[in-house]
Amino acid sequence: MSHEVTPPHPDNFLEVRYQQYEVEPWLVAMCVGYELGEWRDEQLAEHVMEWLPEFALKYSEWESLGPSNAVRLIKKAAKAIYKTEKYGSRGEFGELLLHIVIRHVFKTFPAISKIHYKDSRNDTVKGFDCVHTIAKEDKLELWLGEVKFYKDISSAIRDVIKELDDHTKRDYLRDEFSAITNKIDQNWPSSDKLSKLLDNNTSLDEIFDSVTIPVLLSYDSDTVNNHNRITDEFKQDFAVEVNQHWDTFKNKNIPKSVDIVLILLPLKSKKDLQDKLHGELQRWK
Amino acid sequence: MEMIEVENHLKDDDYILQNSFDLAKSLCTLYNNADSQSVSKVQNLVIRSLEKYELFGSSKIIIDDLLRELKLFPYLNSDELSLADTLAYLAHTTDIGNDSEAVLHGPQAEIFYKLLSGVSVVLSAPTSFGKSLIIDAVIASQKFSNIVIVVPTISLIDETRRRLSKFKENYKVITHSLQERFDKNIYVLTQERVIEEDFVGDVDFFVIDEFYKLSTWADGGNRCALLNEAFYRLYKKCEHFYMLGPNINGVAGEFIENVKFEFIKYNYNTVVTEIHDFTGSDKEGSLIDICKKVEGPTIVFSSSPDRANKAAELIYENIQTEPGNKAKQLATWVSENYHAEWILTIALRNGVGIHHARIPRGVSQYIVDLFNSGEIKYLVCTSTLIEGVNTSAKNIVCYDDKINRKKLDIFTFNNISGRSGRMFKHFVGNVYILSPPPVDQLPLVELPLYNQDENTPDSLLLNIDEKDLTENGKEKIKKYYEQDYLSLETIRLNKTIDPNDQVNFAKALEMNFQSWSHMLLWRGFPDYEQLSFICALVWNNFNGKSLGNRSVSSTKQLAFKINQLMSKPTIHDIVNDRLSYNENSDITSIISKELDFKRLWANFHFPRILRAIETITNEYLRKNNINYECEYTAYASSVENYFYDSSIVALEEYGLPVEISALIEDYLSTDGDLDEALNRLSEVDTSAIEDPVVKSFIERAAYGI
Repeated sequence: MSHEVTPPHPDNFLEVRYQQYEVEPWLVAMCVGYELGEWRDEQLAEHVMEWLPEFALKYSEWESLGPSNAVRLIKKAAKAIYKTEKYGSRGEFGELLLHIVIRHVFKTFPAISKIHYKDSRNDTVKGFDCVHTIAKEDKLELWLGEVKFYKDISSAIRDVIKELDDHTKRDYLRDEFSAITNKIDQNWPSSDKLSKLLDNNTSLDEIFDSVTIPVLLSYDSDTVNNHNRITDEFKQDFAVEVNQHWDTFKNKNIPKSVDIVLILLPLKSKKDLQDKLHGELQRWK
Repeated sequence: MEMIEVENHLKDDDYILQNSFDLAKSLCTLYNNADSQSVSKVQNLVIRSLEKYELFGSSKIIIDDLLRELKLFPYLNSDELSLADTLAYLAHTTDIGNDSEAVLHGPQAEIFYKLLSGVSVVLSAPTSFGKSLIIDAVIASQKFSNIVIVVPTISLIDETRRRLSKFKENYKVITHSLQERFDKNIYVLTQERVIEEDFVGDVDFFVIDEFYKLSTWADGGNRCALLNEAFYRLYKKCEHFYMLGPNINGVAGEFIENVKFEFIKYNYNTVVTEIHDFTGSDKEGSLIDICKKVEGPTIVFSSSPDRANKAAELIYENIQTEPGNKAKQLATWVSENYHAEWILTIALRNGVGIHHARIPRGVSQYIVDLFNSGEIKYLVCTSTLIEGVNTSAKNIVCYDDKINRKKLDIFTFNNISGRSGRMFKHFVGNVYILSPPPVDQLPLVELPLYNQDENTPDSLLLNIDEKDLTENGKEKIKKYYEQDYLSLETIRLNKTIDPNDQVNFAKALEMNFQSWSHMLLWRGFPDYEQLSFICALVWNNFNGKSLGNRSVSSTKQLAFKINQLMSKPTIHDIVNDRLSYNENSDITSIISKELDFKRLWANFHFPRILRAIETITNEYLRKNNINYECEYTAYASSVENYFYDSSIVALEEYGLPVEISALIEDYLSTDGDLDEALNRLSEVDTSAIEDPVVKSFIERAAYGI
């Protein structure tokens, strides 16, 4: 998407090292890479921070705060959040990583700010944040993500499966729902169509040709730790490793009613990356 | 669902309870389909739903998300936001001084950062926008050392300096030319004070509140000219400014080309105004009916002090309301210091406050406090309250549709309606109209300073540098350059006096000097004959008849009353004195006239005209080589200060009535050193004061010093 509808974001940093679109669920594995023999966690931390304005602000806000203020204020905000209990205890920005990866790899666009649905069984209302869409000719795809920023892949898979299960049980796709479109997207080709659809329909799967759940899992990877640059051998090990995790994931009871994309982000050390992120924040005034 | 349906449902508690999700969903749909014009209507609906927030149950999160979408960050609960929204929320929080932070809404943040980046902004936005908070944020940024804030009234000076006293660690807040400046200062001044010679030093940022008063349509005559001159002088010192005001359509005329700024107009509300139409019905009856049924603090707008008094009477005679204890105590104090039968005494006793120009300033400020803290439910007022005093009212009743005899324009009507509702407190404000609202267009602001046409007062043109005059402007004041009676210097010195009157007086002086001289040549205090003579000059040569709200009816009476001030009579004495002549006199009218006389004649017109007569006479004496110099200044300032120390009267601006400062006159008298008087005031041990009203007046005045 051009810079006229969202605040600017940095160029791609992560690389798609392995992908499989012939299988169910799809598998995409992201690679951070090495520089001078060192895994690039420091550069990744910097890169992640540069995404913050686009992630948090509307274009009109970016514009009215003024680009340099916007960056400064968002950094200040990030620092403040990092110290709070709510995010501090989790100590990470997993949602942000997910946002970055799907924007980059699948060219999703945050056309809808929020989706709320009414759970008909207990009559409560719940919401999704950071809803992405992809417009393909006449079709719209809806992307609702899940993320686990973990060091242990087994726990990541275990926990995310539980959540996916909950989703399916709730069957929110057929629940009554309501959406708030992101008003900054008037240049977005499908924005008219989207508002009209949201106006008339009652269930999500009537509106969207497909609902996709991108699942981003990070973990401390043996392959990343056993190498210090990208070689054929690395690539081979990498492929084997991510395929193995994909297998584990697939063999759990994953819901069939929606498309799922498994996105793996192997890390050298989740803790080190977290410390680097922390360091980035500390350096900001 | 159409907008109007949603609006009606939002007034129906049962409906909301039963259909909260559908209703919230309809709001989302309306929002999704709104364009840049209609989005403000959707915003109003979302704010309405805030008033019923709890009824929405678990659909509250939808309302929250709409608030975030509309950038109404102050209304968000930061604990329940997503990561992205928390970042946006925190990015909109800013320091506003005294270690406290405020959350700005989107447009507020926009203006704030524009100002910080060095852009000058002229902002037109509704009352509830929160235009003043931006000033606090700018000050808190510590970017500027000397800031001037121009406000239209003394009451606003006091209100503003209270608010800004939180910056006293870093800035001295100066409101008066009697004060000394420090390294870093915030000047809070009226236009008159801005242009006092050599008073304001360097300036690196200035603010004009209620900037529409730069236009002749808003504040015709002298005050408009003085505000234009104030702007002119400040702009010469510093080109970076922020002007704010409500309901303007734009800025027109030459101004735009001469001065660099951005005009920004926002129709962005943080509260909603609901109009209730009672037009066509009997006014008195409606006023009573409305006041009976409304809940929450209620302001009644009337066209003049007399009408306000009548409205107050209607309310207290027909509606039982119990005032709080503090209001009762004030009633007792007013009764003792003014009169038991003064309408204000009776109204306060019955839970009705009155606010207009014929109530002593400190007392009316105190009444606004009582109203804002819920001690009194009704506040009857005139336009003096509307022009920027902060009130916390749920309801406004427009009892009249005029100010004095002039019909309300749309601008003023919006300004009045905008006083209903209050962020976080009353999301929906009610406006009850008894006459059809005006339908004209919102006005444009035009500066006579730059337009220099037939509406530009001569006094203004005479006070701007010759190079800044247009051909038209030069032509208009040519006559002053071409006469020999009076120098331009003297004309300029007497800024507040019509230049024509000055020249004519100089002419008269030249013709009559022989017969006038023994009456004019005095120093210090005049004898009674000299005073009478001066009063005749004031009356005949400076249009005395039309001044002072006709509180004085002849030149003889003027001399008598000015002279009487010297014995410092209390209002109570004056009323009793009058009653002893005629026991049927109307007490309220006696007090009104006396207050008008003191405020308008003694404190304002007489001294300024006396000073002008002095300068003009002295110029004549110099020109004719007469070795004598008149000295009226001491007398002028004595009258101006009702023969008290100047600090006593200056403290009136801080909310302390003369009746109270006079009790500790010796302690507060500092030979005009206001800083020292303020210092002493702040050191008064109020715990030793028995009278609760005196105690709170003093504590109130000392606040923030």
